Amino acid sequence: MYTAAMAGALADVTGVETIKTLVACLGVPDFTVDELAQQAGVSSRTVDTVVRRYQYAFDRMPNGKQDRPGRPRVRWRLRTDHLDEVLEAVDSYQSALGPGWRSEVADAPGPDTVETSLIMAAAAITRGSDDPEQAKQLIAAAQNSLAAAGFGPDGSPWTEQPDQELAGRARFIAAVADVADSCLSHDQQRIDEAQARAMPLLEDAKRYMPASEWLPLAQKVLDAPGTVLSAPVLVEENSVSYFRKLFPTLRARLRKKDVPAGFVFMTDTRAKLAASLIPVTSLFNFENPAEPKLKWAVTAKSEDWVVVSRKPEVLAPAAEHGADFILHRKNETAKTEIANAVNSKAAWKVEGIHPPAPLQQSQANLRQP
Amino acid sequence: MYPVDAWRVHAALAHQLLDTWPVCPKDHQIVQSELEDWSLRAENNADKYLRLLIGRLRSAGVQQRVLDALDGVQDQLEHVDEYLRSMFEAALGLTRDCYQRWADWSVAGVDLKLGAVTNPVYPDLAGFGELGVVACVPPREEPGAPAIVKLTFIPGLLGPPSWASVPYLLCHELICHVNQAGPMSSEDPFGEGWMDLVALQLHNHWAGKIFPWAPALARSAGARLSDDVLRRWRGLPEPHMTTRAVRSRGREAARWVEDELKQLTRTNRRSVPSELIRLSLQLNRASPTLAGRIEFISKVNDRSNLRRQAGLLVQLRRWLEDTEKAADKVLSFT
Repeated sequence: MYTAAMAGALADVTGVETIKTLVACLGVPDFTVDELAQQAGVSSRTVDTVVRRYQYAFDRMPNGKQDRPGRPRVRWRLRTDHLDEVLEAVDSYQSALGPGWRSEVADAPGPDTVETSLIMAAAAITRGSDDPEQAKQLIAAAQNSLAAAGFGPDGSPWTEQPDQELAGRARFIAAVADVADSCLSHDQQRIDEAQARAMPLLEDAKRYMPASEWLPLAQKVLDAPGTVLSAPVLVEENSVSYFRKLFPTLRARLRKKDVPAGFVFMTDTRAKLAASLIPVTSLFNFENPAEPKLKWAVTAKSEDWVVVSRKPEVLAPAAEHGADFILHRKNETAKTEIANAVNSKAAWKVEGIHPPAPLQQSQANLRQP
Repeated sequence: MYPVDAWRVHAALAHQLLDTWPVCPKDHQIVQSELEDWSLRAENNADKYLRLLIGRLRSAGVQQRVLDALDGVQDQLEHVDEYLRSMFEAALGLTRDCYQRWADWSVAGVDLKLGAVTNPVYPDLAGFGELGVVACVPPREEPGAPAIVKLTFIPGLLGPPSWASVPYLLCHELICHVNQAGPMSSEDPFGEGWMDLVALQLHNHWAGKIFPWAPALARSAGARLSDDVLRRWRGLPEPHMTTRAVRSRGREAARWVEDELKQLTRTNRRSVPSELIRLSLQLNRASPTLAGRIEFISKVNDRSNLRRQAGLLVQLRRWLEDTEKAADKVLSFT
C-alpha cells in the first residue's frame, strides 16, 4: 500500500530518471540502491522510489557478509519473469517524453562518433538492396546511425548546435533516407514530397561532402520515381498547354527580362524550395519531326533541351541536335522521366550543358545582388 | 629480383630478427632501408639476393646482436613456408575448436594461399618493418569448395613486425570471415569491426601457440595493425575512409556489449573465452545478411534510445541464462 508521502515522492521522480533507473537495473545482476543510483546517474531517492513502485518485479536478496558496521544494505535483484514488464514500462515512459527526449537521456556524442556514424549512415543508404526487407533494414541503419551522430530522423540535431558542415551532411543523409523509404512505400505523393524536400538539400550538401560520398546519395534522390520539377524550366511557348496538362502544378512566372523569346519561365508549385533559381532545362513538346529543326534555327544550343513526344519518329531529329528525348506513352511514366531529366540537369549542371545563348546573358543578370 | 623471391628472403630475415628487433631500435631504420631497396638489386636468385642483403647489413654498421643474428638467416630461408604452414594450421585448429564448442563450424576445408605485390596496399605511412602483409578470403569459385585464406606480402615493408602480424591476420580471416553466415563485404561493421575485436582477443590468447617464437611481439604487432586500419584523416582515399569508419562503429558496438556482459556476469576482465567471444561466434553464424548486420550494429550504437538499450539488455540477460544460448534473439533485439 502506498502512503501519501510515497505518492508525492513518485510524482517528483521524472520520466527520464525512471527510465534511467530501469535501464540501469537491467544491466546488473543485482544492486543496492546506492550502487544503482551511481550507475544510473540519478539520486538514491529516485532509485528507492522506483524500486518501491515496481517492487513486485524485484527480489530482495538475503543479506550477505557486511563490509562495514551498521545496518546491512538491502540488495535487490530484478526478477527474470518481469523483464518484459520493465521493458514495457521503459517504452511507456519514453513514449511520454517530449520531442527533445534524446538530449535528456543521452550525452552528446564525441567528434569521432559523429564523423564515423555519418559515414556509416551514408554508406548504408548508398548500398541499398533489391530485397525490400533488407532495403528497410538499411534505411533503419542510416536513421539509427544519424541518431548515434546526434541527429533525428529528419536530420535535425538533438544535441547542441553542431557545426554547419555536419548539420548539412546530416540533413541531406536524412533526406535521402526519407526518399529511399518513400520509394519502398510506392506512394506517389510520399515520393514526390520526399524528393522535393531532398533536392534543395542535395545542392547544399555539395559544399560539405566529398564527391565520393555525395554522388551516390545524389543519384538515389535523382533516380527516385518522383514527379516534382524541383528546378524552374523554360517551356517553349507552343508546348505550355501540353506540359500544364501533364503537370497541373506548373505555373508561369513573369520574368520577361530573364527569359529568351519564345519561352515561358515556369516553376512547379510543389517544389517549395527550388534546387536551383536558374532554369537549366528547356522543355519542348514536338509532334512533328520537322519541328526540332525549326527551333534549332532560332536557338543557338540544344544540349539542355528535353523533347517530349508521342511520336517515336521525333527521336532522330531530337537526338541529332543533342537533345534528350522522352517518348510519351503513359502519363505517369512520362511525368517521372521529365522530372528526372529536369532534376538531374539541375543537380549535375554538367560541363558542356548550357542554357540557350540569350539566357546566358540573363543568368549573369540573375546573379547580380 | 621478383617480389615472390624477395618476400621469402625478407621473411627469413624477419624471423631471424624476432628476438633482437625489440632491443635494437637503432637498427630498425637500416633494416627498413635495405628492405625498401629490394627491387633495385639485380640478383634474380633468392640465395644470391640473401647473401647480398646480409653483406649490405653487415657493412651498414648494425649492432653486434643483429650481426650475430644474421648468421642464421640462410638456415631460416628454407623454413619460411613451414613456419607459415604451422601458423596457419595452429590458427585454423584453434578457431575450428572454438566455433565447434560455442557455435558451429560449417566449412569443409580451408587452404592457405600465398602471394606478393610490389606496391604498398595500405595508404598509411608505415612504421619500420610494418604493413608488409595483408590477408583476405577471396570469394569461393563454387559452393562447397574449400575456403581460401590468402596472404599477400609486400617485400619492401616486410620486417619483423609485419612477420609477427601474420598470426593476427590469420585469426582475423579465420574467425571473422571463413565461417561467417552472411556475405563478405569490406563495409560490414560486424564482420570487420566487431568480429575483429573478437579475433584480436582470441589471437592474444593464442599467440603462444600460433607464434611460439615471439608471442609478445605478435600481440603488439597485431594490436598495432588492428588500430592502424581504424585510423582516419582528412583526405584519406576511398574506400578506406568508409571501411575504417564502419570498422570503428563495429568495434564501438562490440566494446559496449562487452562492458555490459561483464557487468551482468561480474566477470574478470581477462577471462577467455569471454562471454563476448562466445556470443560473437554465435552471432557470426546467425546473421545471414549484410543489411541485418549493418542494422544490428547501428541499433547497438544508438545509445540515445533507452528503450532499445533496454531491449538489448533484456536479450543479453536471456542469452546468458539460456543454456542453448540462441544468439539470433540478441541479433533481432528491438
